[in-house]
Amino acid sequence: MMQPLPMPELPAGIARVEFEPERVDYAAPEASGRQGGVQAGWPLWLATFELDKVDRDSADLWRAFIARLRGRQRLFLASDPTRLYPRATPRGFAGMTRAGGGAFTGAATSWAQNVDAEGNAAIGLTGLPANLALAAGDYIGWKWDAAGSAAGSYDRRTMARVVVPGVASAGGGITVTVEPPLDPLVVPAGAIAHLDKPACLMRQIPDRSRIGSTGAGRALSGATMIAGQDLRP
Amino acid sequence: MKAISAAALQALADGTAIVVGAVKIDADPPIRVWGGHGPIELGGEPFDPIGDRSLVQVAGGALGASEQSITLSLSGIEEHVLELLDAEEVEQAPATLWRMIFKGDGVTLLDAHIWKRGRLDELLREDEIGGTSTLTANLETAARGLGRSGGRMRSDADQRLIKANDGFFRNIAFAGEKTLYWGGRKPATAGSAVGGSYGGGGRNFYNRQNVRAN
Repeated sequence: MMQPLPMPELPAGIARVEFEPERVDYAAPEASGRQGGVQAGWPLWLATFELDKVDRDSADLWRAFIARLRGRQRLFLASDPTRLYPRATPRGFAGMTRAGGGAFTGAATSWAQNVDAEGNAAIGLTGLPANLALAAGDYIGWKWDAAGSAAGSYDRRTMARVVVPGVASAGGGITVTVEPPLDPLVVPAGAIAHLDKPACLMRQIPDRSRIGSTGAGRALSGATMIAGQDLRP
Repeated sequence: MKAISAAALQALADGTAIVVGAVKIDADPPIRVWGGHGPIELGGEPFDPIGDRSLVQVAGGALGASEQSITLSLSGIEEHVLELLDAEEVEQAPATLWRMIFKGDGVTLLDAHIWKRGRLDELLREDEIGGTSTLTANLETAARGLGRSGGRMRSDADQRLIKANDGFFRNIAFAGEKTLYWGGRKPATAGSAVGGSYGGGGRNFYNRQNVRAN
């Protein structure tokens, strides 16, 4: 199985991004005004990446990336470029240590999901630096190996967004509420929860994406890519 | 009556339910797929995930109206579904459609029950260039399977095949073409069962008079 492609790090960056879980509802509103309905299946992340006018180097990287995706064929690691690391540590975890000792690279030593009676999904992480804060809007990623893949290939990913913030204890443990809740049928207990560049696997939706046009100075303008999550166990 | 668990009914009432479908087609090998993203077990059998939201939409029907057959639109490229095309004993294979109700968090399964049963009737594959690839499975429910008559029809033409001069059915020939659905609404009058209004059976007031005149 081919490894998912990483997104290119463009010198110009990505101008605008929409990165939200998409839910499909069957609504049944009543004449009284009451909104009834059920949700069909599970929410999946849907992303729109928009580039403004970008320089030649960025344009080359972007076009090469789109070409390598081969339409819908290949998976890529989609992250929210506005929040690659927690808000408290926007430049990563260099030099940070776990509360229990040892360098902290972003991965928690263990994780657990606890869904309360109201359906809120609380994620508990251990092995973080003491007093590390996770703000609303930060992401937690999970990575694991697909059945039959080599150990450590981490070709399966998913992510969730923190909606109720928290601060790690002196012992490096934290509990935050996330959306969407993790599907335990998909994410194995042995998956690694991590805070560095949390990503999910996506495929491009080619008929809604456009690569843009190249103008003076080889600048690329008007590139838009829309992609949807491909969640597999 | 389908017994839906109290917790599932509460989730439906609250509008927090996540509804997913599953289908099992007893071909050889059997196809068992469901609309979630991870493997699951239903009734002691493993179901493969295809992440298809549409599996839940298929069992339409109106209360008191005629029973309908079920059309399943499946992905034409999903490996778990594609086995169906090469499977043996596909013809009239028994099919079971499940409906599952999850809590709004998508983690807790509140209820799983068999929604419909039927037999596989037609299997159509449609690949549209530049479009979508779908595999359409028509499941015959009890409606059509039980409503089917034998080769004989209560028609004038059929009766005359037996005896050329026997015109017993000449006035009610159209009754043989009228479909009565199993499980459907009871006809209010005999007229609505066999002919409906004057327009029923393709006749109007005037040729109804003609029938009588004959």
